[in-house]
Amino acid sequence: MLTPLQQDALKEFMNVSIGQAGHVLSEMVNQKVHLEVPEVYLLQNQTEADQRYLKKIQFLTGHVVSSSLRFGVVCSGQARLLFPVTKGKQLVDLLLGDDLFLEIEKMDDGFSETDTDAMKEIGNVLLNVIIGCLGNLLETPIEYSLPEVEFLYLTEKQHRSMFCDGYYTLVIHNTFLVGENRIEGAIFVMLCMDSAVQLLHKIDEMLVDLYG
Amino acid sequence: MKILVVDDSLVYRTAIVRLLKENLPEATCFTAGDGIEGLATYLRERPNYTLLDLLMPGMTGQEVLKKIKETDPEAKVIILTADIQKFTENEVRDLGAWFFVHKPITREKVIALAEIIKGAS
Repeated sequence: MLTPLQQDALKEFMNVSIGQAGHVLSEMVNQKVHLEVPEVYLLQNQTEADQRYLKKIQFLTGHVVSSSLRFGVVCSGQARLLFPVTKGKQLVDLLLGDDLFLEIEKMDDGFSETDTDAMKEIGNVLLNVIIGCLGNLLETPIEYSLPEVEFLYLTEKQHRSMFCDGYYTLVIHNTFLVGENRIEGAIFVMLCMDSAVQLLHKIDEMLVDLYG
Repeated sequence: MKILVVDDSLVYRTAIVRLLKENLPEATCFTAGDGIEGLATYLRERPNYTLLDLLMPGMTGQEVLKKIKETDPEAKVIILTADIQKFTENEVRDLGAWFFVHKPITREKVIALAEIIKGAS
């Protein structure tokens, strides 16, 4: 469990990272993207997730689209970006609606192969920002696997499976407002124990730097 | 002038080629969807400029860049990547990348690249 000061420093760091993610998303959809302040949690196990977080992700019950990639070297784990499938489709439509993609065939309902390719690229870019920021903070190089897109049906019970004992899970609950679209999603970063300890150590260094 | 675009995203590959053709009408563009195909296309076509993604199936962009530079130390390779780590930028610069562009690719970035290519040709 983080102390209030650690929680505050982690939230501030992730605020900056989500700000960068908002910037790249704005470039992708060629529109202004407003950000709501993200909610950030570093959860140690399923029990802690039960107590502090699970009731907040009701919006991820049902059909969701997941973009994920694994990362490794000194800092290792898995990052997953989740949107309700309708919100994921809205995001893809906003991306492909830009005149950069005039030649791309559009599909009104459901995800076409092109939509899935676009979703993979959205996940790739946004997760690279979040994990890249972590790598830069920890001053360690990180290597990535290829991003994968999956369409899942999640029940409330399955939400628990996103939290594995032996891993810390960094959860960033983010909302992007693009035009009239409110796109609510979540990023889950499963960090192996050593990486989470490094992150906490770095946060403590930031606090010492700020408060002495 | 020959330009090779290597990116595993069909959506972005298509858009990049269209914008390059709009801004460099004299260019002939070739594309590849992964690193292995990218290297093979490079060796076959010997393009003047290569736009190369890093995270791809088969061979990574770093591996492709290394092979290209072993074959042709003067090759002009522009890296396109979502990776924001300073380590990655330093790594590909050390491998001999000519330019480094952060994804997402936008119209403005491709136009700027086209201007750089025009200036160098």
